[in-house]
Amino acid sequence: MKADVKPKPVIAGQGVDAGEVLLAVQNVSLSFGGVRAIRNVSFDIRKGEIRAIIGPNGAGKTSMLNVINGFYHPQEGVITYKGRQRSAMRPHIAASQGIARTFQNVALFKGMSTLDNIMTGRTLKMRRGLLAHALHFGPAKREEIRHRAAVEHIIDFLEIAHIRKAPVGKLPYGLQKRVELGRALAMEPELLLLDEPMAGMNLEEKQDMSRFILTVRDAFNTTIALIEHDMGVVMDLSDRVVVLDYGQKIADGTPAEVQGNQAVIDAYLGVAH
Amino acid sequence: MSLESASAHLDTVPKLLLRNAARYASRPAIRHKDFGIWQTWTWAQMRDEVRAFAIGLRKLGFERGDVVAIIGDNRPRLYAAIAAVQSIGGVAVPAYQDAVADEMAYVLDHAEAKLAIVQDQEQVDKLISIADKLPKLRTVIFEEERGLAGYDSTTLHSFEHVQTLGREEMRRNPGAGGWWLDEIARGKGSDVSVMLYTSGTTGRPKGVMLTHDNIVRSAENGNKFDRFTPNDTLLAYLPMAWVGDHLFSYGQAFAGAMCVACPESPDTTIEDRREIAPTYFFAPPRVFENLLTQIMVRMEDAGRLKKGMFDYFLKVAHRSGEQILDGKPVGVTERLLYWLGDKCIYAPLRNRMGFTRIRVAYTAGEAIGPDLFRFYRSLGINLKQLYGQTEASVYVTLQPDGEVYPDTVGKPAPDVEIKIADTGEVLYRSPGVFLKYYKNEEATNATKTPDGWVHTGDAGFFDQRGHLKIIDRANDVGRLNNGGLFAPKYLENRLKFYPEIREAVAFGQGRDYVTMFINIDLTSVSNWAERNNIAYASYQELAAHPQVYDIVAKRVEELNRALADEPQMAASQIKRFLILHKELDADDGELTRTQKVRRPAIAERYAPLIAALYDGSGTCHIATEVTFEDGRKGMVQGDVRIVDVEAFPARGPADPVREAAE
Repeated sequence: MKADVKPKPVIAGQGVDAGEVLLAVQNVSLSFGGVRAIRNVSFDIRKGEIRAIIGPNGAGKTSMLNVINGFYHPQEGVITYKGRQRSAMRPHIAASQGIARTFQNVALFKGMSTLDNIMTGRTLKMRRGLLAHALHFGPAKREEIRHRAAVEHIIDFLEIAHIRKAPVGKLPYGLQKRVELGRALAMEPELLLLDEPMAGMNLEEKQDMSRFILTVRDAFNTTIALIEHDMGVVMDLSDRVVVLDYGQKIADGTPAEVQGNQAVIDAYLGVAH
Repeated sequence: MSLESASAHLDTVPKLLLRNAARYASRPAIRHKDFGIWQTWTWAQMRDEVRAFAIGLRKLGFERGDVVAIIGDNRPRLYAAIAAVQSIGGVAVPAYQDAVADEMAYVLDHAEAKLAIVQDQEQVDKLISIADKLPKLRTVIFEEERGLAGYDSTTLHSFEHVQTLGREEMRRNPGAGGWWLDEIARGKGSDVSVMLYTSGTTGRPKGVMLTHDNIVRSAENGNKFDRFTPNDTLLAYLPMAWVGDHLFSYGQAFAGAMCVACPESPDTTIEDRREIAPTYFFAPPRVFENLLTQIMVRMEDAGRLKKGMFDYFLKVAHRSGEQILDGKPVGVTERLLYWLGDKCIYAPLRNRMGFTRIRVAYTAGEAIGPDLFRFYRSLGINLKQLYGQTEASVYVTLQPDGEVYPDTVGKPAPDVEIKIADTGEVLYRSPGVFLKYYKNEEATNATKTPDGWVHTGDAGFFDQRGHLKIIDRANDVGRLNNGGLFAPKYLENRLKFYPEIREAVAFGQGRDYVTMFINIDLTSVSNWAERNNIAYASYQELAAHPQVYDIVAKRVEELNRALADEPQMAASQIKRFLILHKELDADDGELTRTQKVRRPAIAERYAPLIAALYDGSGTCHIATEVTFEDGRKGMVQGDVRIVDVEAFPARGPADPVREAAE
């Protein structure tokens, strides 16, 4: 019953083998006027891993994601993605290269339905022009059916079929987060950046979200970098953790290593600087 | 299209499948919304899917007589699995998919299931967690592959994989298809086809063994009674483990070659029903109640014009809708008004609820509120009541078209004999009567007499119109200390008809007067709270709110006033009540899986509250353990207030003994 609508599983990341470095950040510094948000930070993200970026408030985590996704331009440092050094970067270029993200404060089209919101994630994959889609015939129609099928797979995967047609503005926060993840997945990203995917969720919603994140990595073969405050979630989910504090990297390693690191403990418990 | 004549020799469901595949090859058998689109199997496809799966099962070592558990939401493949199992001489045991691991372990162990066909990872995980209690369970087959990639594949197979085994076998071995047909031909009507575990208000669930004869005869009778044809469509959304779903979505669908539609997920049922617009629909009263509550809540927010039209035309419908539905004479002006109302209000409402094409709708399981019942009927929806039991393959009584009364459950169903015992208990005998309880001779002997009569355990009587009226469980009907009749369910149901009250539990057996536990209905009361700017942080807080108490007290008083008019019941007016601080829940063992009250469990858990109801105290402290969905436990505690209610002097002839003996 499912056979005839199943599109080819989404496999991203050609050119980089599992375990190899997908994205490397080298000596990156970013400042806004006098504020130095990121100071000389280096780390890498390997293909197929879940990489957590943690740190106290104001440590520069979201700025780091914004740098990776091309929204901010670091004054110093080099970013290498899939073996190529990046020069001028814009978010839409990052998107076309396979980097998708979700936001700390949900950034969806509130008046549009869940389905339409996720469909917008397919925009970059659309090949036909505006006119063809407006007329909705032949190749444009086939293309839309193909994309709709992909979106339906995501809806099924994230278990949001019951809100398919509901305007997202009316949905509870936890579900909006899920829709946003859906939209990012619709891009079939190679690298998925999640900015606090569990913020404001209850235990059950967090468990669901954790399950989705793990399955995204395993089934969609997506590399994931996430910022999260819930340490339990971070320690359970991630393969490696990088810790920032006051814009500097203070630790990098497996969850167990990071957990025992004195600098990390100090940063979280608060020690006189 | 007359199906009866030809199906005389078709005594098993798989034989019906073969007939349907031959006669209705290209007509839809079953639909499922998958990836947002309704996918359909025709009867010919259904046969092919069933055949491939059955032969695949054989390749996995299945043997005649093996018991197979079926666990999951209503899915075409799970229905096909039942047919496949039965086609090669197996017995299907659909189990409640939302049962916690322990309950499931009991059923699967008791049934000695060798195989389980389940929906998804959730159920697989559940089975893995209880695997050590199920030594007989060899193989698990799952329908949805998601999340199961890394699991041990020696005992775990996907549905598709089993079908592939079957298809390969058919390619390699031309005799396989013939073998399958022979296996079907070997099946007899007297073979056990299915075991359904009844949730039971007391003790462990019992496995009701039903034969193909039971299911096929009952299905054919049901189809004849309401004239179902292959053009009819129904929605399969109630648990597959429940006899109603098994008979309607499987038995009757196969017997009548009807089309069954399975919703995308339990959350989308209402939307899916609207899209499918079934012609036949069954729901417990609770579903109709929730539907009405939703509409009323929506209408509260509607504009003044809409609200005015809604109110006006509902009055018209209330006046004459039912008469028009029953074909009784109604004046021309009234008919015109109803026609106008139909265009403006009733038809859009029916569409909203998914009843655009509805021809027959049934409700059963609990008493339905007369106002609720009339509301649907007045909109032109042919809602009727039936009275049934798992042990009867559903049908005991049915309301015929045109003879529908809210306070009765109808006349004996075709081929059903009914008698009332001296104790007031209802007994029946029919072709649907079960074989026995599996491995429980004691219970079988207590329920079924040697000449085939079955004790329903319900007390009731026939009224002047020849309709059966059920008042309560025979065991639950008791006496107050003053000799007055005490029928707890009768009282509880009357209270539950009020929108603010979700559940009620009455006490009074061997006491001086009647008291009540009450659960408020969160949807309705929270909406009321919102409209009246009443802040609350939790269910507990809302339940204890003085104004909520006032509302409920008013309702109880209304009931008392009504009871004062009923000679047998005047003595059971409610003197004191309290609102419980938590919702009664099946996970805590307070309700059955079909949401019926478990009296002994409640009496035990809330003993201090019951004591307080009878010792005159104004509040009582209570701490209760609750079980969350994932099996963890926690405590809920608080002070519960107890309120006294006015009782009214009995009116009319007060001769309870004569009335009861009638």
